[in-house]
Amino acid sequence: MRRLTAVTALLFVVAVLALTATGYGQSVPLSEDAKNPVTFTIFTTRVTTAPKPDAPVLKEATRRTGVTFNIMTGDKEKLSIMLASKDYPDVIVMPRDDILYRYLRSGDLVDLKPLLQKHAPTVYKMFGSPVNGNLLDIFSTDDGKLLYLTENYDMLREGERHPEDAMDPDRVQAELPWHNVFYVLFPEAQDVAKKKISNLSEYHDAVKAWKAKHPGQDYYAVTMEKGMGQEMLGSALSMYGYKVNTYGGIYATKDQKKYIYGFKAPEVLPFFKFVNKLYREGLMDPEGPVQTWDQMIQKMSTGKVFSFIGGYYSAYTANDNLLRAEATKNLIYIPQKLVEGGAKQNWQYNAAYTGSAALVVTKKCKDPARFVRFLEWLYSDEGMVLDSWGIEGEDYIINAQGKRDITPEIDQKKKADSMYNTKRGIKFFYRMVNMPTYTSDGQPASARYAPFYSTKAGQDPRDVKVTASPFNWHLDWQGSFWKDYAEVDLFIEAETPAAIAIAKSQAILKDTIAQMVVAKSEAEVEEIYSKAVAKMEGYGISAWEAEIQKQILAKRAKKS
Amino acid sequence: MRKPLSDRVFDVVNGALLTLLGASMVYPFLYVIAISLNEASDSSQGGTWILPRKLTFESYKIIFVNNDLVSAALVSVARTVLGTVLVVLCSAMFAYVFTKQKYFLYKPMKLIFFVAMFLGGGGLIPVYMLFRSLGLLNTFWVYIIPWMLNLWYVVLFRTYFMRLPREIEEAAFVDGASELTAFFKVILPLSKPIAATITLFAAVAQWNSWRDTLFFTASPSLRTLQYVMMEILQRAEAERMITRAEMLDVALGHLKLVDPMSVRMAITVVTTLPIVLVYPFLQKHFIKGILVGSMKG
Amino acid sequence: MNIASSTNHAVRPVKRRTLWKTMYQQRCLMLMSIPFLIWIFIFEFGPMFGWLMAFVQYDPNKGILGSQWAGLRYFKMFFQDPDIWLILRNTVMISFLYILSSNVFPLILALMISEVGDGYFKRALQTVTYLPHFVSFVVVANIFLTLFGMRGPVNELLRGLGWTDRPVLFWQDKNIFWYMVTFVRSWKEIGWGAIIYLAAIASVDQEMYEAAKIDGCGRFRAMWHITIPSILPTITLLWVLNMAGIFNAGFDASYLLGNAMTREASQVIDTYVYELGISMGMYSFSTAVNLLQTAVGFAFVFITNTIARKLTDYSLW
Repeated sequence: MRRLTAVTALLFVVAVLALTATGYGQSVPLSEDAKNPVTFTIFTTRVTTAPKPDAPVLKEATRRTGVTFNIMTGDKEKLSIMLASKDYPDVIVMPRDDILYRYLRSGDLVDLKPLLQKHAPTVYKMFGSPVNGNLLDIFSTDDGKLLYLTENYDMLREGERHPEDAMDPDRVQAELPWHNVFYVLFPEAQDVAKKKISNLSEYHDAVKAWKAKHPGQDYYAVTMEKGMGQEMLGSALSMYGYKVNTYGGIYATKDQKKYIYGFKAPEVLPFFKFVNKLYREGLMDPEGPVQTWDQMIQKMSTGKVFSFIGGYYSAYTANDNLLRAEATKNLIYIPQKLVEGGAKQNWQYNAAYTGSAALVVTKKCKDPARFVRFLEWLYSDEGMVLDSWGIEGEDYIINAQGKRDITPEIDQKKKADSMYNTKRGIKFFYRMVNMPTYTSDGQPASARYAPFYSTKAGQDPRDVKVTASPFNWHLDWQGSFWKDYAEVDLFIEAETPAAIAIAKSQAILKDTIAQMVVAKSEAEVEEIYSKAVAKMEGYGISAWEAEIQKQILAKRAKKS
Repeated sequence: MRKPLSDRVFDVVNGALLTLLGASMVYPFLYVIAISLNEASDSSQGGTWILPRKLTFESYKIIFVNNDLVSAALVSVARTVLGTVLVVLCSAMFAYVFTKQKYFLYKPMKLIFFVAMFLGGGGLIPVYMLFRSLGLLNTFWVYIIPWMLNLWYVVLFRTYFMRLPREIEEAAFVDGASELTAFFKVILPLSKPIAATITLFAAVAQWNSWRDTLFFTASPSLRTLQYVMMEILQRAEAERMITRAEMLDVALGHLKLVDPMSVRMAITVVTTLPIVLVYPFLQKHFIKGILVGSMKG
Repeated sequence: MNIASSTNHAVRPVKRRTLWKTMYQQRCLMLMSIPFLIWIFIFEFGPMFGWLMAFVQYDPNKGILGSQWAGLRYFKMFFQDPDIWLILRNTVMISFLYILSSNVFPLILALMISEVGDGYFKRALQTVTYLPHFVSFVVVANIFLTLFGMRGPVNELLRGLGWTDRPVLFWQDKNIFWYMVTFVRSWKEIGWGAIIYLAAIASVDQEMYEAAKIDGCGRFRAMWHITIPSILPTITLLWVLNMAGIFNAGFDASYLLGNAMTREASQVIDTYVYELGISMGMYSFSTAVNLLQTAVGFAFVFITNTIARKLTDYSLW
């Protein structure tokens, strides 16, 4: 009996020593934490339907780390109630605009810098790496605190290249450009234009030729909807070589030294004179400037619209509809890269867009270190794969080449249930914090690219034809993403003159553009334009421009 | 007795006009049902007016699959029944007191009432703080107690009570009844039409309410049907603005784009149906003559 | 002082006794009202300090009382907008037309329904007419935009009848925008609005109609001389109550049906506040506008109530 006790005691001591030896601090074996369950409440505005805590992936994460997430969803209004009443959950994922700015100043957020340094060296290193744009510096406050991280962005290690830059030959399908461009209908565009459309006059010729081919009353060469002014403006500015940012209101710059309100650029008037010409020549859908988005999509989905100037999501919705109907299944809207006015590039979105929403830890959180350790675990191969692929054997397999892949059965399951990922809990953490792009063996691991490299089954048949044609646009947009980290996270405080000026100017923008489109003469376009600019000046738009300029330059100075 | 010609002409014209109007009212609902049952990509090409062209239950599947509708429906029914009964009773009772001008608190009460009616409330954040200090947050009672009394209903009830013949009530008092007894035994039974109307208003308001779930509760067990519906709709609308990550899923067919319009239509059908079913029970109180018997008695 | 207090002292016991007596006599009424008064103090007066937000530069971190005092800055901001008179004109016109139509049309509908003999037709009608109330405005707007669109059925009909040769652009004409909006809104709410009139008509004593019939009174005369006077209190009441919304033209209708061509006629306070980006944290400004809308509504209720009392002898109170 005594011996038994002694042996037990000895074993215990050995066990404790062994545990201490592995060290609880830096490279924590999460199995240790796993024995010590903890629950974090997380509020997010980024997903409308949260996975349940018993979703297989979340359960597996709990099993491995001991961390359970109690996920609540809601909107910005709830965020401001929480702020006003100081009623916080442990962790919040929120939009990066004025609401974040208010939270940052509340003094209720945990400084993540020392915690990351101590408990999450990998996360700290990747966020601080120049490959990812020194995010730590950008996000830090003036007194050196790091109060937020971001989500929905792929992080790289030294020497890795982003799939977007790499143009991997195995890649099944490229993405559409993120922002606003000219879209034309394929293969109709090929029939009327013969070659890629690359400037306004070629666009005009193509549109005219198409309309001559389809004189019918319900065929529209170009269409738009009543709220599309902003998108058309963005497309035009990009075409003239401006770098356009929609974050915190639309501003544009050519040299990244002087920043102006996009609508005030000298090219805007000639561009809308051009659109007005389309209208007066009967090439623009006469109902365009007044119809709703639904009405526009309805027209585009019949395949009787040749072109529109706007955002990817309209093209995406229409393309989806076109594919499903027998008569239109060969048609697809593709983005054409137009360049005008001697511009070198049609710049699309700011690739320094370092993630969408912000992740903050509040002081209500009892064990922020534990949460940060969880982030470190997410950055391990185990965590990455679990989040973006799911559970091996159920959500993915390792194929004959030793790579992660999905089988036709899994593909079918995913196709049959659009809630599959939510139900399984896949790709949730990606909406909480930026994740690495590749696992340590070089296989893609980000939620964005994970299943995409493996399955050719999902390829859009129309895209095969586009890629094979001279209209293959996939190559056009290479290098069109610009980067300037100083231009993110510009906060303009609400109810200040600058904020009111931009709000009022934006309020009249769409309608002004629609009015310019339907003007009876070129002179009228000019009149509407100059009146609107005068009005915006009256609202104080110059004060807003100065504020934007000041903030960007200050950030740039801080960085260098 | 044969009706005079003018009356018959009147009936025909009236009937015809009402039929026309009724048809115009039914029509959008048929349209709603048709779109909710039609394939979204087909609807988006237009031309679906009365019957679905490509029948699909996809929109209803989105609603009924993967959502805990049963518990949400129970919460909805509970709050609707309890909340409605309470608000109708309380508002009627308070309105009844307001018919007693001899009541010594009548004047101050009136002042308080009007200030409350026109300047009461004051924004979401103060209301939230109030509910928090009362301990109402995240309880079922947040659906009931703050809506226990409705000042507009009080006015509607009072106007109705003021028109009731005084004599019946007086007779009750002579028999030694208290105001409470008179209210329950005499006034309420005489006020069925207005009570039915306000019951309908209150029930619909309770049934349709979802913002209080969003702001004042966090627990999934307190979700109401209407809130879940709004969540589904928002999900559908958010998908229109799909992120880059999801675009690839869409391209692979792993994420189906849900058409917000057809989901909205299906939601309209699902949430309106119970009201359509309940209405006939209240309806008989609106039909002319129900009161005559009791008036005479 | 002394005299006064001694006088008081002499009077008070009597008063108190009568007050206690009254209170005892009216204990039942007290039971039926005091809980509700308490409720009003808590739930209506409790959050009223929130209106203060309109007068400070609200900072959620500091709370309403801790935020910097702004005085009338946000009210000034509202009235200094160059477009404000246009916006106010549109708001008042659209809401006035709606108040007018939402009182008149449902009344007519209720009168028509009440003239139909009891039976399935009447029941069906009553069930059916309130259905549009439950269809969201987004859906209703889409239906009407299509119906009156360039190639919509209405234009087809006009062309078929040979009344026009080119399509009428109903939604692009700023001169008719107010009426189009009013039409759509009243169509949506007419049946719902009729319910309360039906309740009022239901309570009219049937004997009066029978007496009138014996006197040889026609349907219209019976309506005019019996039904309308009997439900006049309800009509007045609804009219007065609806006036509270005079500064509130509704967001949905103007936002969804309006466009660049009709902007001059469609911009109302609610769309203006929305466009200024309320979601962008303009708490104080939106509270100020809201307070203004409430106060003007209250003033209009008060004025209409006074007029109604003079004209019809009925009033809100």
